Amino acid sequence: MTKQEKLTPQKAYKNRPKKWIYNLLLFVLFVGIVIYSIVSSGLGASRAINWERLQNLGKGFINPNIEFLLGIGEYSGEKFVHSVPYLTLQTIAIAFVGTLIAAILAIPFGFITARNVIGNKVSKIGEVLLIIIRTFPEILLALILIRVSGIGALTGTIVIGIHSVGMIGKLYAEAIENMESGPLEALDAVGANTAVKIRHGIFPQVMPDFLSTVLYRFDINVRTASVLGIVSAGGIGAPLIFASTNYHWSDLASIMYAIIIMVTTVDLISSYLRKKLI
Amino acid sequence: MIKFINVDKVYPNGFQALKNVNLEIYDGEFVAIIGLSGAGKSTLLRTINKMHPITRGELYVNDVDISKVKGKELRLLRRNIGMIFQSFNLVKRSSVINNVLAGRVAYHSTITSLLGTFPVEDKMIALEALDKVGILEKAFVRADQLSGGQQQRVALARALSQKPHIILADEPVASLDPITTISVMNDFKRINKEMGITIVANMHHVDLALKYATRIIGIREGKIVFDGPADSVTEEVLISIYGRSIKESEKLGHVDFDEEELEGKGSGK
Amino acid sequence: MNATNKSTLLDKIYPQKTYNVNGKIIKKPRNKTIFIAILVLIIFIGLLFFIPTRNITIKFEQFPVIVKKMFSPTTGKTKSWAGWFLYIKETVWPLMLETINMCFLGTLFGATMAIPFSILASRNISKKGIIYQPVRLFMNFIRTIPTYVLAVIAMICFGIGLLTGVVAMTIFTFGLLTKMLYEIIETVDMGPFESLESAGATKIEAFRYAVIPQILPIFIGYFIYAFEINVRGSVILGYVGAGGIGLELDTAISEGSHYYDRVGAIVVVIFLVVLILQGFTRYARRKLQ
Repeated sequence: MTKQEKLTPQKAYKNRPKKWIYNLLLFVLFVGIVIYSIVSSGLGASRAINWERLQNLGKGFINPNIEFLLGIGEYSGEKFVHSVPYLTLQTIAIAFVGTLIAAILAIPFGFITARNVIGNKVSKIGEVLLIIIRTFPEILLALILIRVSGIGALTGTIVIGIHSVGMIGKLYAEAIENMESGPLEALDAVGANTAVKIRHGIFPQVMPDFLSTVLYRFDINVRTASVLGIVSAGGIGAPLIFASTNYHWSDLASIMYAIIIMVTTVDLISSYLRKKLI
Repeated sequence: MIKFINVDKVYPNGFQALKNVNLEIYDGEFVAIIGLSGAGKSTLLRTINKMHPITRGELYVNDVDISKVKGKELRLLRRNIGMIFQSFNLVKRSSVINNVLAGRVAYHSTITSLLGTFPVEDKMIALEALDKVGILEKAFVRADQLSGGQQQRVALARALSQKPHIILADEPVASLDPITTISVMNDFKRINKEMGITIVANMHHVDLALKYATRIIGIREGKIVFDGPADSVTEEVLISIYGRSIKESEKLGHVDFDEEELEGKGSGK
Repeated sequence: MNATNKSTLLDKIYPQKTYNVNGKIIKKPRNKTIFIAILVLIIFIGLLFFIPTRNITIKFEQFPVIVKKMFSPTTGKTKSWAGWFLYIKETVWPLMLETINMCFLGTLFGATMAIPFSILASRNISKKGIIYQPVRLFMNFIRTIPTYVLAVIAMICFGIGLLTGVVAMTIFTFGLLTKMLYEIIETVDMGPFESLESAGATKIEAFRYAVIPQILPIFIGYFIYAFEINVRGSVILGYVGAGGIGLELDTAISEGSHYYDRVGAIVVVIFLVVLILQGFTRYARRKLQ
């Protein structure tokens, strides 16, 4: 009898689940990975910051190449297509046109991937397709497509278009799956056929989500478009690399100014419009 | 006129929701269906416009056996039957008038509906329906900006714009507060009396059913156990339908309001 | 009675429709969507002018040619399938690991730096505006600079190599995570924190026992998210000069079509890694919930 009632606090403490061992192991493992990474990357033998170059860049920021930046003087007329304003607008154009085309092309993809429209099995095919399109890194796509459609903005647009279909398609599918089925039931009761049910039941519900997705994607694509320029697919990326490798500090500064302004503006417009949609 | 002849409904999983239902509902009646949850009220209602097809028997709606009809013919029949849902089933982000116009789609070709180019007459029908339920001024407002009672009125306007002979209502006031409930039920009563539309409604609140309907149908376990005028419903009858006495939650109870004042509100005059 | 009859220009080109229902008048608001659609169309056409298509011929036939070349080692530099796999094993894979390493460290350092800053920037922990507002401003500024610009600046400072990549990713991750973190911290339930403070714990102790357990799973989720983004961007960073697989890709492509089989190998490895990583993050996310 006395042995039965022995579950004292002391005993409970002794028999507590030893979760801390598990956590400790995990922590040690993590630290081990970090140490291994640092050592194997050779970061330990790092160089000092090249202050001189940084200073030169700073000087460039104070004294940017105005003609380059505004597309006047030396950069007007024939050379205008190499000036910052032209290239910035080209970057935006690549993103805009690419995103718009993808927005439309992605609609059928979204529908065939939505489980409440197609059913669980067929939607898997759509999912896989979209994943493949999405995960293929844009730069690789650009590098390959350059051989097909040449260097320049057209390739950039195509790359953005294809890659965005994957991204936008997935978000479309999610919007469709989040839809209410109630209004569709009401349309059934009213005597509507399938096409009408889609137009009056599905469309008005998913449209705001679709538009929000497209705006969000456009924002990201503006950044991507400028990156594609680095591999010569048009836009402001190319002169950026050129100026940096050749140490044209004031040119580089002009480009950076333009990029920051462009990205910030697009960001602001995009978030403002998206807030209005909700 | 709605006529059930020996109707059974068995769901694919084997559950029999309706057992040998025989029923005749005449034009212009206000019928309330009462019974426990799961007794078959919803199923009974939804067989009338073939949202749930019956598995045995015949079901005539205005002299057409709806169980045998499909495709375009079915849609034309449904056009004549309006349906109100407990959760309103409006497209929340669309405007009120667009929701109401959805009731007109079966009157036009697919192209017209797809493009949304409803003729002016249809728009007037929609606006008049909204006026009839007293919310004309909200016509161009987004549907989710309205209160629950107003949203149900939009749903009612949608049904009215179909110019139906029959309106089916599946627990139409169950989501509304007591005062709004009374005004919406007054709307139903008015529509039934002034426009001669047959109303068949599932009611959760027994006292409400007894007060507004002219005829009560009691369902228990898929069978009709009572069918008669509202004033012949006694406590015994209710026990036979529910298998017990009525709970407080199944009554709306006393509502503090001026009934006539609310009747005035209901019609917006 | 004053009857103000302001007939504006807008009324003349696009009059508002009025309906008369049973004696009541109701006006239909103007359809804004048409305006927006026209605006978008105009912008679209305008921007099209910036995309030159005149001297460009789309060589569709090139596409299968390139793909074939990417996967036929016999005609390429690696000379055989064995050589192809050898190339992967000896050159591509180690570079890939290096790149992942670089991303991991960049994300790690960025996340570590982000923690104190995000705490400072959250309204519920540092209650005074003088603290959290300038921190937020600073972070917003950092976030506007795109990764590759950071990479270029880093390259100017540190030259070509992994360090540049790590630095660029650190700063980028810092900007990204601080915002996400302070948003989470602000939505945390402060009840346990306050009760611990009132029991005598210092702010730090209260934070560790009341706030951290709530945030930890979400933080790990964000860490993984940032890591994923960084891996995607690492290819381009390598191109800019930060080392890793991007650099190898640049070399292989610029050598010409003879080297396409190498390009193919690199493409396959990158794609597979990103795919696996995606799957891993989805799995990890699910387990965290």
